[in-house]
Amino acid sequence: MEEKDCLDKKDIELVQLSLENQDYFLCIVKKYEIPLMRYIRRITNINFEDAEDLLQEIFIKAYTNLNGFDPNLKFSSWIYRIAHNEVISSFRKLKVRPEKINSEINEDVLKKIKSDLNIEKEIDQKILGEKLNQIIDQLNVKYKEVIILKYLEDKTYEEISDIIKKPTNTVGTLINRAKKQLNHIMKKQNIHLPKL
Amino acid sequence: MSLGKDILKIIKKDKVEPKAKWIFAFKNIITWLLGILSLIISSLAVSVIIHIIKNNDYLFFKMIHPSPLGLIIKTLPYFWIIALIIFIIAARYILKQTKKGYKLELYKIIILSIILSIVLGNIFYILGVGSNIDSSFAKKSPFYNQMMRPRHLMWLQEDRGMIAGQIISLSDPDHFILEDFNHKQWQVIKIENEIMRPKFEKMIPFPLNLEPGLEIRALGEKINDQIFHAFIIKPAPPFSKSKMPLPPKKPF
Repeated sequence: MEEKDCLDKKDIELVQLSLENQDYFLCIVKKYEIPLMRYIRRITNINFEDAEDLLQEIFIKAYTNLNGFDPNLKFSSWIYRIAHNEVISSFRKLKVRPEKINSEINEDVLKKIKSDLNIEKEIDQKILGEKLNQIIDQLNVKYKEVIILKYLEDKTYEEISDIIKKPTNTVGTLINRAKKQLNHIMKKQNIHLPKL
Repeated sequence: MSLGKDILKIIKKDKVEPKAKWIFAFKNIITWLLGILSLIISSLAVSVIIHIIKNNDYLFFKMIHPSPLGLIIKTLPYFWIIALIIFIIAARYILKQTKKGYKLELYKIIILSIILSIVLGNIFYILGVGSNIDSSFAKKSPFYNQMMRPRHLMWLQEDRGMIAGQIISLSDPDHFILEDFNHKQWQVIKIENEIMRPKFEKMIPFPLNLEPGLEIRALGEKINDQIFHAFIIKPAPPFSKSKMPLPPKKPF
């Protein structure tokens, strides 16, 4: 399977093609391996090798369940949902909780979080980035995941709802509570913030 | 080797195949059927709750019970209320497993399940399903009879003028032998009591044809350990309205 065979093909077409010829599944893996690896590493504390094993399991699970993909759903939401479930079950299996966040907070992400949390402009970007990493890390797991999906994975409320299988309103509530918890921790860490 | 190629290698080596479409369709149908089943069971629970509450003899007990609230608390059909709650939670959990079920908020699912259970439960009650379930549980399970039907036990207070059981034999329409639900036999004499009767007249829609085998409850006075004077006689649960003999036709 060459790169050119995957180009210009929509996810739904790739699903159909993969069902006919398993080689096309490589296109799906190529398209989603980087975002999913980033997502896994952001919400877990596992090392790269373990994350790769988990990712492999996620793709094999996705392959075996390809016929169960609902075309009314975005394929990315569907595959992120599988990743979400696998991550949760890996927490259960290993009886570990995510401890350290592996996120690279870039400028775009920082801008979004800053505007949402009304963080004062004069704070140094680098310091804020590092601080945010630590703060997101301290969030409750359910809040951490929605914050990661919203700000770091750039998902809409609707997509988050499809990934974590919760109503859209509940996603909104979770994000609001996560932001409040973020603000609370930031205040504690002496990052001065105006009222949210 | 890249991750993608590793995955393809595993898929080919282990002959991993996508699950057939029918498996997902079947799973979806089973999920919906389980959801519907939970809803039907919760509706049946509602129909029994309605039956029990409607046949709770509040008017009778109000006369002798010191606290109406205490009476209500004592006679609520907790078994069925708990069954209702369990199956509404089950319906909610099952609905969440359907394709779009998770989009509905918890309170919406619960309100919807309760409304549907009440509507269906009323239909089942009208059809007599509630009383049938209550009586078959009572007949087949002594535990249910003793623990889940406190109103049943409330009738076994002969010192307070209440008695309930099955007619064993009748010597004439006003004298019969009754075996109460504690298997104690009583000689019951029907007495016309002009003071008490008007108070309960509306609760007895037509004269009851007493016959052996009939389960009744009676309000009256204990004379001694064997004799009971009955002022009011009513059919006893599980002898419910739906099974009552038809009232005698009025002559034209």
